[in-house]
Amino acid sequence: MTYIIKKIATLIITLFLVSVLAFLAFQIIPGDVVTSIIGTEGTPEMEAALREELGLNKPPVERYLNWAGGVIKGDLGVSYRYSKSMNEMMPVAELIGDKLPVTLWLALFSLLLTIFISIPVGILWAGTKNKFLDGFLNGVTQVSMAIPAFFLGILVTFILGVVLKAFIPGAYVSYKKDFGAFLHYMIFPAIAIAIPKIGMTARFMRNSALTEIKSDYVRTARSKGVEEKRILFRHVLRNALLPVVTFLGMIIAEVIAGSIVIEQVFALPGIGRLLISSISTRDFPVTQILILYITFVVIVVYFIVDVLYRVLDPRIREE
Amino acid sequence: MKKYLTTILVTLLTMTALCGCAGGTGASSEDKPSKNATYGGTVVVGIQQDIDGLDPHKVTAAGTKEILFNIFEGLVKCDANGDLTGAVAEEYSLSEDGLEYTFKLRPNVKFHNGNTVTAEDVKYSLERVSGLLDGTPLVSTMSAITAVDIIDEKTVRVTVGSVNPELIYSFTAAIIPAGSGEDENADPIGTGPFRFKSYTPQEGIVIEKFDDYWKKGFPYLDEVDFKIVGSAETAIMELKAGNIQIYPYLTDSQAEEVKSTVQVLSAPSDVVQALFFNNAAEPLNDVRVRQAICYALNREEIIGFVAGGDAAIVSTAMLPTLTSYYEDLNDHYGTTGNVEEAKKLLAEAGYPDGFDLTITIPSNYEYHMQTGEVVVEQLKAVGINAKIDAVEWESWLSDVYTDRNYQTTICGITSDMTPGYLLNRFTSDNKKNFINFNSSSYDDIYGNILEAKSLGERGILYKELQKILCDEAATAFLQVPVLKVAMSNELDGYTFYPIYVQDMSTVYYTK
Amino acid sequence: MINGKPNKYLIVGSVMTGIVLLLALISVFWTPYAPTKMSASERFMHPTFTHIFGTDNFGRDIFSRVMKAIGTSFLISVFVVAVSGLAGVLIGAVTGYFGGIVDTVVMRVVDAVNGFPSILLALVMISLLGKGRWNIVIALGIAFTPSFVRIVRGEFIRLRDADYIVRARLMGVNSVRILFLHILPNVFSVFWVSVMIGFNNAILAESGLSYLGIGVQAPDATLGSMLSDAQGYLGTAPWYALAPGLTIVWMVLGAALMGEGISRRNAVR
Repeated sequence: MTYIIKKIATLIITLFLVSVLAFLAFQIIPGDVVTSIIGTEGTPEMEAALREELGLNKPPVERYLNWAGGVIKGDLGVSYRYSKSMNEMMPVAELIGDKLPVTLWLALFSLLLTIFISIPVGILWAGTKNKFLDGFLNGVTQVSMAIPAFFLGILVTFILGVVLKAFIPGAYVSYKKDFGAFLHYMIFPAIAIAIPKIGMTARFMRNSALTEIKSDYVRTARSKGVEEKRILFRHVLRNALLPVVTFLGMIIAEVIAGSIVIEQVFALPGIGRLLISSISTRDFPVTQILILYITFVVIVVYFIVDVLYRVLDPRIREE
Repeated sequence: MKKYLTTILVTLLTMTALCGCAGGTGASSEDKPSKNATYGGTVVVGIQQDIDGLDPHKVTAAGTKEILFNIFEGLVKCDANGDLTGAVAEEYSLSEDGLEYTFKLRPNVKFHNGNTVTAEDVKYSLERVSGLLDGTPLVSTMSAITAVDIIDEKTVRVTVGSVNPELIYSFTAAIIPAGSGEDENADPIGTGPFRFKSYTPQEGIVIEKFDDYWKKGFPYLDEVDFKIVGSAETAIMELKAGNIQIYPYLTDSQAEEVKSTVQVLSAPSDVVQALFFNNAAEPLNDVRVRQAICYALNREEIIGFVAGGDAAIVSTAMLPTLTSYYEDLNDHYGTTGNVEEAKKLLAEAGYPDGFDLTITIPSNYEYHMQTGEVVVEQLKAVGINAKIDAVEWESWLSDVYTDRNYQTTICGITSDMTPGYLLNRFTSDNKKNFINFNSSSYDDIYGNILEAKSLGERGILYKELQKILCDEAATAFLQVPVLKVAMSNELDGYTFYPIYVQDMSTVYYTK
Repeated sequence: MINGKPNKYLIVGSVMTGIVLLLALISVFWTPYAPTKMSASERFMHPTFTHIFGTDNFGRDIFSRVMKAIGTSFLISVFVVAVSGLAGVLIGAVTGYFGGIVDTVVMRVVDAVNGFPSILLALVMISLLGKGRWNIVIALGIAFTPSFVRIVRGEFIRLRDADYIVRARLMGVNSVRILFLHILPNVFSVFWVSVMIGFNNAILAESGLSYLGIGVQAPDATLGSMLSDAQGYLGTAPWYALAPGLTIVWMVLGAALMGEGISRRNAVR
């Protein structure tokens, strides 16, 4: 229990640190939302009015405290750039709520692809005696891990989109409009995200399974004449999976936080793309909440991984 | 992320000189519905950036104005020939002293909410843009308005503080229902051919046909979906697959790529692209250095690389399409580069071995970036060692445009079709004079223009200004690019305007 | 598995990396064509014997540009990994071995940087330090440090209670010695793997920055900036994107195989 309280306390401290850093970052980088909105045509009066309206004429510390106070009360603020109606700006919570499903579905799809391909491949790979297959899988997984996400996105667009015409790159359909078409489109960016993860997880799975295969109980089972397939899928799989679960945890964090590049390449209006455009339009309220959100997810996932580690590794548990 | 030449400046609606005489409704060709047209259908238009708001008086991005043109109208409106025609107002007259505009409203113009436009609405809208309502003018030229009076329910009189023959163009500012600028939840309501349907950040904006539009027979389409495309590349793929029907920002190589599947329409743009010099920065404060660079550039080659040769080379800040004002000065430095002359001038200026030069370019403008790469290569031939400093648009706005902290930059300035608009930015104390150009003779002549009454007189002075810009090499003017629009073969009726808008009311599916 | 036999991974990886490095070295003195030489008549030529990787939208020889770009990308990535790896080892070793309040504080900061978008971080660093490739190295180096800290720290936590370490501690060996002579060598096998991943990510991150226009300055090219330029011509000139893209894959693969080879050799020993 104290462990969990301690963890929650550190989570809060980290989020605080991140928000201060992000706030400072926005003080440092050139241009602010007012120059950005006014563009090349504004008058000084318009600029002053806008600064007043957005509360940007107050000293930085006061602005930070106002913002933080709002967040603590559950008010995430409104976007500087996105309109909800003619005279009202879009609340950050609503904006992110609208974009989050895209990223979550993307993460889910790529995770499912990773699990359903890499685990069977990994375990079969561990069990195979075929030299050629071993070498082949070794090569393929190595290559898959060596392709940067950016290029992989381009490759998937080119091969599946331009050459095979399996989908129209860019023809994203909103999940609100047509869910089926949405899911169909999401498969392709998910493939692009999953490929290197499949490579990594399959290798991890194989190594984990190989360790198990060498263990005493497998040797015993073998000597008793238990069928090889049964050994592999009944005994080895179950034991080898545990470390893989923690590994997958890290992959979830990576996918949710790191789909930025793929969202750009595939024109997905998810939170990664929102983050990039918010940084470039200096939309501080949106950027700040997105950064906090991503940090939150990463920390929580690592926390879960940490707990699993403790459960699995008795040495750490004893502490 | 990559935008093709959307403009760096916001475009106000205006064009050829129309002095303060009485205007009216000129019947132009597209007033009558086309015979070949069918009604109905939906069109998806690919757009490159998100809109920056839904308030027609507050938005500044050209990419937003081109869409809102379909929803909102002013008292007057620009037509395809570049003339002003009546919109919400049927006609207007200007008093002898040029200080009183009287607008007669068109009967039965309906707002999208079904209400008829009243003089109250007009008064409210004009007071809102002019700052009479809350002290902040939303359209800077409109701050000249001192009073808006309702004469009767169909007539409004506007009084201005100073004579400005070009002010009438500002009355293209949107007419909105009285009070709607303060209403928290208001959807954008105007009088245009289409009404606002929905907006989703990062995805796009949808507009639908307004059945009670005052101009009978328009629009044809039931719905237009302005969809934000991921990138120019995916836009091309969607276009080829028939997923979007209109894409207005083709590059030269994209046009080549798609022309077998869709029609490619083109027209001169309203953008003057240039390698702008910071006239106050070393070594560009020496006129010989600036002239040397102008000589060094082979502009034929530049447009060959970036536009497939399809652009107009200019040597001054004026659009060749503004024929009564444009002065062709391309012979001054030549268009194919003159390395000897450039080297000679550099040697005279004390740089026989050239110097290091930084060209700051907003990296989201692919067109300017590519131009920059060619320029760097050409400057190398005269010994100038140039580097491209690619920056974010926001950094460019703040460092280059506002703080003027740069050596050279490549960007485009947008014309609003009044000649003064492109030229007044080079007067020494102008806020938009980001190149720090300082010439007293230029300032004097510009001052005379404001006094000049006749069109011919102004034309002569405008040409003199252009000559000064060219002689002084205030900036290395490059080209006026061509707009290339891809449109599905099933569609017709796309209209180019001298200003940057996407008028969807004339677009239709052919029989 | 491969005991006794020559280590294939190391050989193949070294050869792959060697070829790339050789090309980069040659490019300092010679390239088939000047990498920035434009030619209006030779735009978008597909690969032929005269231009083995084809030409780009300015008629520049892609192979010559790739040769030059390899050097730039390689240098940036190596330095990013060096900076972040070194920082990661130092911070990770100290925090992992000693734990306590230092550990808590450092890990909070590491978490904070971890969640921070590296693009924003890069923008900040560039505003503070100015442009140029060394500042990009610093920006990315900081962004990459947390993952190294995490890995090294995890290994130090794992090893600090290992029998031989406990014994060394009881024998009165001083902490610095234990850290760097007893534990560190055993961390390297794991560390190498993350160095290779870091190398991959550095190339990727640099390309991401180039994509946003805040990377290396034109007309210098990096593999990432070439890739992002080439994206616009995927339909008409796919070779333009494939050349730098496959070069990145080749480089990363070479490095990864070397890493694998090294860790296997360690395991055998």
